[in-house]
This record gives sequence, structure tokens and C-alpha cells, in this order.
Amino acid sequence: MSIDDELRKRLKDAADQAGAGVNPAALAQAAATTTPAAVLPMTLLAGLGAVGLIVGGALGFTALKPADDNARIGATVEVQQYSLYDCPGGAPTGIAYPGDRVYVTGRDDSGGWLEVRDPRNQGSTLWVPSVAVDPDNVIDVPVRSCNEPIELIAVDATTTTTLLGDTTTTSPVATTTPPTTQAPDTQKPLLSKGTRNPDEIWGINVDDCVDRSTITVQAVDNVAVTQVRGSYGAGLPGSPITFSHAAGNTWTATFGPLSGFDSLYSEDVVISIVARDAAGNTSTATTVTIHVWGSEMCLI
Amino acid sequence: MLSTDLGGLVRRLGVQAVSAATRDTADSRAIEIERFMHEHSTRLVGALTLITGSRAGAEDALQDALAKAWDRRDQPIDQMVAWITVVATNQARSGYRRRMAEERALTKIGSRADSGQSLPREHDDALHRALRSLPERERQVTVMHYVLDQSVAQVAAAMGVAVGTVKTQLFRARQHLAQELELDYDTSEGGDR
Repeated sequence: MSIDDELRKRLKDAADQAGAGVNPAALAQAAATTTPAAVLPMTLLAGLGAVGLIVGGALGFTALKPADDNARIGATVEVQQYSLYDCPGGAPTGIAYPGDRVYVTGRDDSGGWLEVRDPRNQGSTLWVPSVAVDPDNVIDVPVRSCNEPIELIAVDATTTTTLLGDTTTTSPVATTTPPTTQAPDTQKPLLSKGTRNPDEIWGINVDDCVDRSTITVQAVDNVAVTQVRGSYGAGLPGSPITFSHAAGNTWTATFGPLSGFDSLYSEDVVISIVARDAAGNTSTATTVTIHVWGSEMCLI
Repeated sequence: MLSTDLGGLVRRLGVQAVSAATRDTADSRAIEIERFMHEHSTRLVGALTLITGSRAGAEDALQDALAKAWDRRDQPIDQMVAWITVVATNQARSGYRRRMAEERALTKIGSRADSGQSLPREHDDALHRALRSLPERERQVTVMHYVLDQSVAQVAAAMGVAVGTVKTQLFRARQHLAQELELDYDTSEGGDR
């Protein structure tokens, strides 16, 4: 007997044992007490031989229970959060949560947007609607434009502001210094922690067994990032992969398909990503891990 | 029997406002539900018990599903068995989460959870322990597939996830169960679609 057959048999036996003694009429009667439609018990219970049990209550049903418990569960995790954008009014590229401490490095000329360091990657700047930040905590920040290069000056932990929802007050904000064109560029690009979607792929593309994943990183440089590449284990096809510039600081690449991936082979593949600027400075590597299932796993 | 009894029953209960069309629709849906209950309730309650770990929770979930099926009596439900199974399973999952939250809360305040809904002692065998040690989603997928004979595609559609996701969960669950139950697991096995 195969494992599938054995599991099926044992589970069905267990289910039949667990469900033994079910009284359909009693269940239907109980269901009747949750539905506003009086006709249900009249018809259904007649068929199930339980009419006498519900005559007295048939015209006085209680309201139906909330229809979607999942929705209620979802509501409990709803929190105030703000998207971070690559530019004022641009594409959302990250999320800040109430309580996140962000360095404010500038504002747009309307004052409606603030340029902040990405709380997940201090080397990257993003934009957040001003309403997300307590205005009393933001003073005298320079007007800046989207993607304007900055030289980040180290600031201590007190020079931050906090997104609304946190009552912490702050002192003045980080400062910026315009880049000098004469100085040689020795500053390395900075990379965010990468994300991947989905986090697992298969070695074959059948049905909905996805065989590729999109990797996204944020890369920032004092001048400009010119290249982002990812590499992974020897012996696997496709390495290295070259990222494409999507928008703002966002770079994306596709991992997979891994043609020839052994049908039963399954492992976590670690992709090491680095960014490079025009002067040849190379960032510290960041990694993302994607689990690759063997082709066979798609066929179960 | 049902159609014969219906008219008289409606009159006896004094529900005069039910139109002929409504009565026909109601009659049809009631027959579907009745048939379903007679043919599938034992297996389904058992399956839901395996998912929730609670017979009472399973029956609650099925009752909710029946009520919803009735509430939608003006809309066709293509596959009544699959539909009620899915709704009941989702209800069971919600109920399971609520119960787990309650138990965690009770544990926090130093009171043991004792809802009286746990499985009878004689059911607490290796299979149940192995099932309970599965993540919730994997347990649901396993029961829907192996006990309720739903295809991977049906489970995926029912749960609103990709077929590949279901396959992954099923694969992991099978591995885990094989290990827990000390079955001879061969990764090349399988073939369920």
C-alpha cells in the first residue's frame, strides 16, 4: 500500500470514527436557530424528520451570525501605517509603521511630502506624506527634489522624528551637504535587504507551480547606482542575474527558471546581491533566499 | 416525502407570504441540503473534527455552513457537496483560531482552557497527535484532500490559493505525517492531482 493510500485510509477511518453518531436532524435544527429565514427549518427539517422540534421557534429566528469571521480577524490586525514612496506622488516602495523612527532629510516645495531615510535601509531615501509625521517635530528641513543625490551625514539617535502614533518628541533633523563635484567618489552604494516574491519556486512550470521569482532591492548611492547583480551557487543555471532599474532606488530581477534542475532536488538557494556605481565602488552584499523545489514536487 | 409535506407544513406554521416561486426555490434547496446531510454529514463532521480537534466545533461549523447555504437559496450552487464542505471547513478554521486565542488568553491568566470540546480520549492516538502537530493550513489541506477526496485544484480554489501552494503544503504534510507515523516515505511517490 502506498503512503498516499495508507494516509487516505487511516484518515478516513479516523474521520468516520470522529463523526460517528452525527444526528443530521439535530444539526439542521441548530442551524435553523442561526438563520433569519424561517423557511429553512420548515422545509429542511421536514425532510429530516425533525418538524416537531422546531415548530415553536420557527417564526422567531435570531439574526444570522456575522458572515465572515475571517474579515473580523483581519480587522484586528489593521494598523495605521504609511506607504513610503520613491518620489512625491510616485510609486510606493516600502512601508513605515507607527512608531518607526525616521530621519527627515528634506521636504518638497509644497511641504506635502517629506524625504526620509528608509527605516529598513538607512542608506536609502524615500518620501512620505507629511501628514504621517508630527509637524511639530519637523523644522527647517531643506527643499529637495526627487532623486536628488545627497551626502548623508551621520547623525545621532536624537535627530530623528517619529511617525504619528508615537508620542516621542524629537530634536532637529538630519542635515545634508551638497555633493562636491571635484572630490573623487569613494562612497560605496548601499543596498537594502532584498525581497522576493514568491519565496519558493519549482524546477518546472506546470499548473500553478511557479518556476520564477521576482527579487527586489533598493540601491542608493551618493552619485548613482549603475549596476546591481546577483549570484548564486555554482552548478545552478542562470547565475549571475542582472537587475533592471525599475524606479527611484528600486531594482528588480527575475530568478529562474532553473532548467535542468534535478527532479527531486530541493534546496534553499541563497542569492548574493551587490550594487556598483560608476566609479567602481561596490556595495556590501545583501542576500535573499529562495527555496527551489524539485520538479517532482510539482507533480504530487 | 419532502415536497408532499411542504405545503401542509407551511400552512400549519402560518407562513402565508411565501410565494410559489420562493417555495419552489426553497423546496429545491432544502432537498439539496437534506440529501447532503443524509449522505455526507458523518464524514464531514468527522473531517471537520480532525481539522478543529473538536467535535462540537465541527458541528458548529457545519451548522453555519448549512445556514449560509440556505441564505443563498436564490443563487445556484453548482456543487453543493463541495460548497458546503468548503464553507464549513473555513468556518471550522475560524472557530479553531478563536478557540486557540481563547486558550492562549486563559493560559495567560493562569486558567487552563477546558471547553469540554476536545476529542474523546480513545481518539487521541498517534494519527491525531500527528495531525495536531501540523500547521493549521497543512492540516486543512490534508483533510480536504485525503478525507474529503477533493483534488488539489479544488482545494486550491476553495482556499483561494495557488495550486502550487496546496501542493507544497500537501507535500510537507505528507512528509511530516510519514515521519510521525513512521511510514516508509518515498519522495517519488504521489500522483494525486
